[in-house]
Amino acid sequence: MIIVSVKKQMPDFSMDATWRAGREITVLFGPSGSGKTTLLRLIAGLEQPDEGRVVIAGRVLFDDQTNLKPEQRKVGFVFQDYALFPWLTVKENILFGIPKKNRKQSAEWMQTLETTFQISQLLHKHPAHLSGGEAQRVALVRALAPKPELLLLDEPFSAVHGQLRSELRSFIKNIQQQWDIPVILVTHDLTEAHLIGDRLVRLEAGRVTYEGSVDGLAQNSSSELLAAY
Amino acid sequence: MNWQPLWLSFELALVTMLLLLVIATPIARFLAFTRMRGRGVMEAVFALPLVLPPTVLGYFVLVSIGSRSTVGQWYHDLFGTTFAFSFEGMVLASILYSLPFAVQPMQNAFEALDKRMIEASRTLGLNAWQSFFRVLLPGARVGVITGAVLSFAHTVGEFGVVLMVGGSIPGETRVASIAIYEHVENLEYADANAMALVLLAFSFIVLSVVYHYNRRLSRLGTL
Amino acid sequence: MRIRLILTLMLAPILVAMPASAKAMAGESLIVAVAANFHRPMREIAEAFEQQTGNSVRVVSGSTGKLYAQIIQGAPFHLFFAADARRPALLESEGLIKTNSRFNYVTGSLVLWTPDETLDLEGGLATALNKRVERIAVANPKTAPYGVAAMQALDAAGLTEQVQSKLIFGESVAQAVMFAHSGNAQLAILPASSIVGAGGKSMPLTSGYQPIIQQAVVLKGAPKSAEQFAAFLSSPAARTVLNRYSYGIPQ
Repeated sequence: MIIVSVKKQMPDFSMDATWRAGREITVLFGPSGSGKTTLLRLIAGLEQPDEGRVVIAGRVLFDDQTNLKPEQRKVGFVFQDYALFPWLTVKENILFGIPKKNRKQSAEWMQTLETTFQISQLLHKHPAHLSGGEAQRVALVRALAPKPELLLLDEPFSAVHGQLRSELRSFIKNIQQQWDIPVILVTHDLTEAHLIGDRLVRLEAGRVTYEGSVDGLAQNSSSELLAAY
Repeated sequence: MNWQPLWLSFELALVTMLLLLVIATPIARFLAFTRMRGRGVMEAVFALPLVLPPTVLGYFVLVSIGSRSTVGQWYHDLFGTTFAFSFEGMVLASILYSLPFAVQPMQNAFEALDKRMIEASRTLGLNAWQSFFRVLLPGARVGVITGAVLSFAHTVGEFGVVLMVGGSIPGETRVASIAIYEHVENLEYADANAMALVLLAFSFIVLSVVYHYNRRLSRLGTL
Repeated sequence: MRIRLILTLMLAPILVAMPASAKAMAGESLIVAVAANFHRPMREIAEAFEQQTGNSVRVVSGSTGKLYAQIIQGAPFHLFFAADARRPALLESEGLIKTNSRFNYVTGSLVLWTPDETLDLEGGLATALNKRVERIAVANPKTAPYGVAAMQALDAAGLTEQVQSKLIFGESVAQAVMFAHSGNAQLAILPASSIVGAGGKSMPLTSGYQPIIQQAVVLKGAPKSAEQFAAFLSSPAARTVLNRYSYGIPQ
């Protein structure tokens, strides 16, 4: 169980959000500017809340006594533009988060990743030579390589279209199921939210306005939503 | 003809460059990322050596590390020699003199680097220091190398500062630029030309090699 | 990887070079600071001294003012040969020299010099009025004693006002020489010593200015051989060199 309860005051925006997520795919949904990405960054420790609590399966990442650094949180983060390291090959990117001391183990682990995610033919390329879909996949594998306890995805569908979207969707679903890892995913696309999410948290102007099943949202307020977006 | 000054110039430039790599990168990193109020003032301070005429800068350094200064006396007590008029004194002066040439390209490169790469490295388990060495430096390597090369070249070409601080002692502080000037002063134009030519040729080769590699490095990341 | 390799390659020469410079530091040798106008004769005299005594002498040259500032700041010089008498006297009053070590070593004189063999110098300073002379180089009287003397000579000849617009000032004697040697000035008023070996054509100026007395001092902390070197300046070998560079020998 993941508990997120944070307050943060910013010059032109205030965040006051409390919600939960489980070992499933939770979609953070809302219009742009509603604070979705900021929430992900607060969970990953890239930004600090003014007060609140962030807890993953009983492990406190942040409260009034604890404030773990990003590298201590075991939270994988896939950025909207992937943020791959352009001077490293795909393989070096993926191995980046794995400590060098257990090389032998990491070689075996790399093998597993290679076969699981079918990236063998990409390993020696540089990120600049990857297609958008390939780069996305590599960014996902890189985030998963250090075996995080939570995976955060920021707008994973924004740069992929058509056939690739459904591939990416099943890819993420597979990861979630095979690894039994909680996934929190940000999107402003309600259709995507419906297609991929198990659970949905709707965010508006820094406040949670719906929390529950994806279908529940559709039944509750589809007309209201259609009017709003 | 005595080629020792050329060697000394090279040695001075190399030591200065290596030390500046260590000194200028944290300064550049700080200036690139700080949100402190006085940032503009600090940037101005680090750019000051650009404004001061070299002999004036040299004079200030000389006065502050000379035998009448606290630093100079402290150095003398510790090592038994003067700080000014030594290779070490020239290194100090050269570091000050070339600092902006190292800091500014590095700062620009740090500012241009996608901050999310640094954040990504943190979520992948790197602490701030590891991230500095494994993401910021390689990510901004073109700027870092440019800064290093510029400070090297600038140190090879410096004259006023080393003349003031070093005192042109043969074998110790007489670098190529000073030796060339003294050849000219003594109407030894052939010697001056020969040494200037070697200095130019050498600098040209070093700069071309580094810029060539730099170009390849930058292509690697962005093609 | 490649960066690391380059850095290692660049680092290697330092390690090789360090012992060499350390050796240079350890050598017990005289360091003589000399005003730029006396640099060339000093090198010859130093060489003669080295041959005769086996001591090694390193010669550092610069403007008198700069060398003075460096001595004040503890420059490791053993002797100082100035272009004037003022700075040595100042050093003495500041207690930075060995007792009674201040002495006149040469008197300097001026010459009129031109790089143009066809220019007639017979008229002395009045050559300055020649139409072919567009520029006249002198050392800056604000910083160089020989510049002061040159201006005195022009004043005495009553020419200062007429040639004012032709005058260009070198930062030092050496720069004034360069102006003329490169043909940018057709005439120059210079220390007699500075044009030895420069070719061109010259005419001594014997009057109209205060003789330039150059003084030397032995600095505190100098080894015994420094006094030996000071004495060597009046040896026949040194005198020959002084004569060749047209310096006067003081009484």
